[in-house]
Amino acid sequence: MLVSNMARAQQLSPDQLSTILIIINSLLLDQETEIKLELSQLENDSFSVNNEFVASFDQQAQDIEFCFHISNGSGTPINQLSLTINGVGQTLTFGENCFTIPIAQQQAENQLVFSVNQQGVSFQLSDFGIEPTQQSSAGLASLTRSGWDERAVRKVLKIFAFGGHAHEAQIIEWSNMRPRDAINEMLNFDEHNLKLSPLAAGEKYIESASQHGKLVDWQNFISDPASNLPIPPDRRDQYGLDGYNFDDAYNRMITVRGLNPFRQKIGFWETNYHLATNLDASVSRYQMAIYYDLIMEAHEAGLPYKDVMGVAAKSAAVAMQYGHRNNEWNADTQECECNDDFAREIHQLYYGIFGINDPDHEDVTIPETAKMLTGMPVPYISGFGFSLTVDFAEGLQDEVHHLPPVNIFGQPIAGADAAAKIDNLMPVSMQHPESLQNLPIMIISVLADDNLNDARKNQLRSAWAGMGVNRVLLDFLRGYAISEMFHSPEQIKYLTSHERALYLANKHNLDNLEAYFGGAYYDGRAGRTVGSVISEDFAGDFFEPLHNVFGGQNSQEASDSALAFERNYNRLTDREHEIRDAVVCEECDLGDAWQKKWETVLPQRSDGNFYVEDVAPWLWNHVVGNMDNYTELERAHLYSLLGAARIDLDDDNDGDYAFDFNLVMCVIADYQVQEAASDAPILDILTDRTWDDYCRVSSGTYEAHELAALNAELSGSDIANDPEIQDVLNQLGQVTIPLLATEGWRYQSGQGLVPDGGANLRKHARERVSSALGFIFTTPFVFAEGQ
Amino acid sequence: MSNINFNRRQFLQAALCSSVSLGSGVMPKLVPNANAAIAADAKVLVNLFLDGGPDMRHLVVPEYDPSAPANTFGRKYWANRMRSHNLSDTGANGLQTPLQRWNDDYFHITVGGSNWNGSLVDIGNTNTGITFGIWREAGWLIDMFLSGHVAMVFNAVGGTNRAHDLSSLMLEQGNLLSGLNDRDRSGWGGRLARSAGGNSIALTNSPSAFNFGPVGSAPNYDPDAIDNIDLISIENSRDIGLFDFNPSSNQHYDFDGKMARAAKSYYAGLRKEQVATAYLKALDHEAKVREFGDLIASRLENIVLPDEIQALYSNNIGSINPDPTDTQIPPDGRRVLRRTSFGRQIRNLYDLISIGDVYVQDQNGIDELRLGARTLSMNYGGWDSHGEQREIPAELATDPNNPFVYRGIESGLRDIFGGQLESLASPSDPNALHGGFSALWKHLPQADRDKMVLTIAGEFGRQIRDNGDAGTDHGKGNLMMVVCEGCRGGLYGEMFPQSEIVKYDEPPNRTPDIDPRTEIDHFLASVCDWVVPGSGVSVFPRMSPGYTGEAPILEIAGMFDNLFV
Repeated sequence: MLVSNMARAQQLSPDQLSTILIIINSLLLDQETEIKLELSQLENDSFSVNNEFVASFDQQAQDIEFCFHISNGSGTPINQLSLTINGVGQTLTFGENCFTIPIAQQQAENQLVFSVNQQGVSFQLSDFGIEPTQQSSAGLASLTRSGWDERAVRKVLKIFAFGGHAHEAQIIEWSNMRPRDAINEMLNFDEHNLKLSPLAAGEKYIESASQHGKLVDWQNFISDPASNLPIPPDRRDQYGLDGYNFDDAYNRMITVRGLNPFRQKIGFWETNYHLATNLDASVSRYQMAIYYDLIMEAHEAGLPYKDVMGVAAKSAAVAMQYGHRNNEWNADTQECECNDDFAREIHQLYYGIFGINDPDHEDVTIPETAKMLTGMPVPYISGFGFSLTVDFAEGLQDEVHHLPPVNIFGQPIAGADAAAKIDNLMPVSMQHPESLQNLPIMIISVLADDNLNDARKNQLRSAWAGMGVNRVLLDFLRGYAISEMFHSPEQIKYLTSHERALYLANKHNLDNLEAYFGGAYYDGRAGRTVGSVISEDFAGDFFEPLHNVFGGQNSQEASDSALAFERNYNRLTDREHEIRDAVVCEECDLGDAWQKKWETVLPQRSDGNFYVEDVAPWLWNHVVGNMDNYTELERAHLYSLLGAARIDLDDDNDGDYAFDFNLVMCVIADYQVQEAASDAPILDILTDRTWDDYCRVSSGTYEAHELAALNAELSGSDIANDPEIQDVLNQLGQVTIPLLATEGWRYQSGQGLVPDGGANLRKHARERVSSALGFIFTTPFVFAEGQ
Repeated sequence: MSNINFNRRQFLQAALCSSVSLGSGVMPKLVPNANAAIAADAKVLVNLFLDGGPDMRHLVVPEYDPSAPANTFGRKYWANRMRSHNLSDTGANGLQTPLQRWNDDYFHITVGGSNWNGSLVDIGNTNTGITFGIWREAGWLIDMFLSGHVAMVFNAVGGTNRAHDLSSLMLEQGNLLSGLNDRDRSGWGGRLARSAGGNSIALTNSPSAFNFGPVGSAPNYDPDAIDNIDLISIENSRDIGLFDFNPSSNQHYDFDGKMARAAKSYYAGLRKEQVATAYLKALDHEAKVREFGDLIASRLENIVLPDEIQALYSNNIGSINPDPTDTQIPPDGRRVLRRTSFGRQIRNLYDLISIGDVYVQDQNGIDELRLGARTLSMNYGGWDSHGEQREIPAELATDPNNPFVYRGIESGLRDIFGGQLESLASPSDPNALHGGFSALWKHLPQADRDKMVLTIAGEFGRQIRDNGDAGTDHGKGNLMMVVCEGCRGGLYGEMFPQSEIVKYDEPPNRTPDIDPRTEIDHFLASVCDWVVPGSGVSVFPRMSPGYTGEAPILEIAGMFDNLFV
C-alpha cells in the first residue's frame, strides 16, 4: 500500500508501477527451485521463476486437484512459461490454474515442472496446493479451488452480505484462495470486517471501522451532533433511538463502510424473519435494538445456535411482542392465566416444530409451554417505559411462575425460573425430529435459495443433523456458502425489496459520505436511497415485518410484486436525476466540496484513460456479479450512455446530454437521410457541433425514419448482426471518459466561459457513469440471482 | 476485459426447460388466456382473505339469556368470553356486563322468528329457534344478510391445523392436503381464472398463493404446478404504468426520457431472447404493467371515483367523517377506514368492475391485450388476536367514527362490514358511515352487483374459550361467508353446536375449538360452478366424482346444492 500510494503521488503509470513491483518482488520472493507439496496444505511462499521450477507430491489415495497462481506484470506472454505434469504438457493462464490428477494418473512421486522459455523474464508462482477433488464443509459437498472463482465470491457477497464493500483486489484475492479460507475471511460475526467492508481510499469518516458496531451504539453515534459525520448536526436527531428515522439509521449500518454487512444480514434475518418481533406491536425501539444486539453478540461469541435462540426467547422484546410478559400461573386455581401465542411459536417459528403426528402437541406441549413462559414480567419504569430485560426474579418473587417441571415433547423440562426452563428446553427443541427436518430448510430457503428441491433439502438436513446439538449457525452458513449446492445452476434467489435496495445502494455508494447521505439532500445530493425503495414497494419497514412474527416481505412476494418492479423502473427513469445528480456538490460535505470517486474503482488503462469498452463490462459485473447476461444488447445500451455525448471542448456542456442507444441510432438514421450518406460517423457527429442537427423534433413531431429509430426494439442478435451498429459501437467503445479532466470550461454570468480546471467535464463524466449504473439497476438482473 | 457472452441466451435454453415453475415460469406474452370475448354479464369472483385467523364468534354470537340454564350454549359462551369481550359481571370499571353487551352491541335475529326474513334458508333446519346476534357496527353485513345475500357457512375449515402459514397455504390453494413443502402448487383463484378463460387479478401489493395459476389449459391443467401467465397485479388502479418518453419533445435534452427509452428498448430486445428462469418475472411485470397500465388509465380517464370510496382511505374528501374536534366550517373530513390499504383495494375493485372487460384488438379483431378479470383477490390481516381482542379507547365515547384508534379486531370488522345497504328500505343503521364493501355496493350498478360473488374467510378459527390475555388462541373450525345477490342467503351448518357445550368445561390445560364439519371444497366448488359452470370439479379436484382419495367432509349432505338461486 505504501509503495502504491507513493507511485500515485509521483504520477507513475501502471506499467511503471508494475515494473517496480516486479523488481521488489524479485528481491523479496523465495528463490527456491523445488518444493514438496503435502495434501491440504497451502504453500505460503511465492516463487520467482526465471528458469525451471519443480513442485512435487507423493502419491495420494484419492484424486487430487493441484492449483497454483501465476502472475507477471511485465507483459511477457503466458506462452513463455510451460508446465508438465508427470511429463505431460499443460496449458496455462495468468491467475489461478488448477489441474485434476486422478489417482490412476498419479505416480509414486509426481513431478510438476515449470520452465521459462525466454531468457531474462520471470514469472511469479504462488499459492501452491494439492487438495482432494471431493471436499465437504459442514457436511455439504463444497467447491474446490477450481470451482471457486470471482463469480462465486461475488455471489456469496450478494446473497450473504448485501454485496459487501470489498475492493476489487480483495475479491480477486478471495477468488484465488481456497474457498474454506476465503469464506472464513468473508463471513464472520465480528463487529468490523475490514476485508468485507473496507474504508474507501482517503476516507474522511473512519469511526465506523473501529467503533459503534452494535445497533444501540450505532444509533447513538449517528444521531450525536458531536460525531464525525457528514450529516449536518442539526439533522441527526432523526436517526436516534427516539428519532423518527430509526429505519434509515439501521440501513446505514449496512451501507456505511467499516462495519460488517454479513453480521447485519444475519441480524436482519434473525430479528425480522426467523425470530421476528415488531415495532408495530408493543415492542419499543430500545427493546428492539437491545434484542438485535443480544442475538448478534451471542452469534459473535460463537454460541451454539440453540443458545442463541435461548437468548432471543428470554428477551424483553419477545415477551412484549407475544404478550407473555403478562402470563401468570395461579397456584390457587391451578390455572395458567396466559395466552399461548409464544408457547406455540417458540416451537414453530424458532424450530419448525408443528407437532405433526404428535397427538399431545396441542393439548399438552403448548399449554405446558405456556406454563413455562409464566413469571416473565417486563417491569414498567417510570419516565422510561418498559424495561429492556425480563425480570425473572420478580416472576419468582410474585409467585407467578409455574415452578414444577413442565411436560414438553413428552419430556420434563425443569428449571428454577422461566429462564432456566427455556435454557433446558432449547437442546431438546434443537434435536426434535421436526426441527432437524425443517430448521435447516427454513434457514436456507429464506436466506439463499427459493428453488430447493427434495434432494437438496435432504442434503441440508443431513448436514445439519451431522453437526450435533451444539451446531453453530456460522459453521453451517460458511459450509453452505462454499457448497456445490449454493453454486449450482439450480439455485435461485429472488431478492426482497430490502435486499435489493441495500444491494443496489452498496453497488452505488463508493465512500461513507454517500452511505451516510443515502440519497438525502444536504446542500447537495449523494448516495443511493434505501428507505424510499422499501416504503414505495410497501415492503414493510425494518423491524416492522409485513407478516408480523412470521417475518418480512418474502422472496416470492417480492418477485411477484408488479408494484415493486414498477416503482423500481419509474424511480430509475422518471426520477433518474436522483442518481445522475448525486455525483458532485459544492458544499455538501459540511461546507466542503465532494465528488463521487468513480475514478478510484473503474478500470484505468496504462495511458491513464477510462475507456468505455472497459467501463461498461466492469459496471455490469460490479452490479450483476457475473457476465452471463452481458451480451451485445447490454453492450449497446451501456456504450451509448457512457460514450455517446456531445464532444466539444469549448463548451461548458461538453460531455453532457448523454445519448441513449435509440437516440444514437436516430441521429445516425437522420444523418444518413439528410446527408444522403451511408456511413455512421457517430464520433464525428458528436464532435463537430452537429450532434443536434439530426433527430430533431420539428413542430412536436419526428419524421418516420426518426421515429422508427427511437422506437426500435433490437435484440442482441439484431445488434450483433448489423455491421453499421457494430461500427457505431466500436467507435463508442474507444471513447474515453474524462473522470480526471484538468482542463475545461464553465459558464459564468457576465463573463461567459471561464476556465474551470475540468470540473464540468469531470462532473458530466461522473453523471454518465452513474446513469449507466442506473440503467443496469432497471434490468431484470437486479431482482434475482440465478443462472 | 473481453466478457461479452454471445451465446448466453442459447446456452440458457436448456436451463429454462429443466427448471421448475416458479411464479411466472414462462416467457411472458400479453394475451395470455383471455383470448375470447367475455360476456358483459360474466360472473366474477372476489376473494377476501382474513389473514391471521379471525374470531368470527366475536362477530356472530349466541344470545345472552341470563334466565337460560347454565349449561346452554349461550351461557357457556358468554361465561368463557368475558375477557375477550372486555366485560365485567358487575359492570365494574365502566365495563359492560354481558347483558349490556348483548343488547347494546348486537343486532338480534331469531331463526324463524324475530328479524328472520322468510327468504333466508336454514339448511337442515339445524338452527330453528336459535337467537343470535351480529355485531351492530357490521351494518352492511346485517343488511345484506337480512336481504338474503349472505350465506354463512359454519364450522367450516380451510386449514387443518393451527399454524398460520400452513393453514393459509391450504386455504389459498384450496387444497387441504397441501403441506409446507407444497408452495409450488396453484391457487384456487388462479385455477378458476384459467377455467374462465380470463385473468387472475391481485388487488393487493403482492399476489398471494390464491392467485397462482395452474400449468396447462382447463379443465385438464396440472394444479400442482404454477404458471402465472394470466396473473395481473393492480395495486393502484389509478396509478399503474411505466414512465415513457415523450415523442413530441426534444429528445436531446430530455434526460428522463432517454432513460425511459433505453429501458423500454432494452426490455423489448431482451424479450426476443431466452432468459434464465430467475429473471422471467421481471420481464413479465414489465410487459403487463406497461400494457395494462396504459389500457386501464385510458379507460378510467372518464370514470370519476365516488367520494364515499375515495374517503375510505383519503382525508378531506368533502365533509365525510368530520372530526368532532375540528372547529373549521365546514370541517375537513377524515378517512373512514382504519386500514387504508383495504380502502385502496376497494377502489381498485370498483375501478376494475366498472371498466369491465377492456381489451385491445388488432385490425383483424384478434386480441392484443385483454384485461379479462374473472377472479380478484383482496386481503385484510391482523386477526391474530391472542391478546386484547376488543379494546375500548376512551376517544370512542365522543368520536365513534375515529379511524385512528385501535379497537382490537373490531377495527377490522368495522372496516370490512361496516356501513349500510342504502337500497334496503330499513337499514339496520341508516346513519352509519360507509365501510369498505358498503361503499362499493352503493356505487356499483345492479348489473355489476349481480355478477359478483364475494368469498370471505380466514385460515382458521379461534378456540372457544378466551385466554388470560383477553384474547383467543388458535383453533380450527370457523365461520366463512359467501356474499352475493345471486346466492341463497342464510345459515349453512349448525351455528352453535350443542356438542361443544361440554368442551367449555374441559380442564384448563385443554384447548377446545370449533370442530371442523365442512371443508371448503364443497361450497367453494359451488361458487366456482356459479362463476364458470362446470369448473368446480377441476378447481377443487376432491369434488370430482372420480376422486379416489379421502373425500372432503360435509356437515349436511347436499348442503350447498342450492347455494345459488
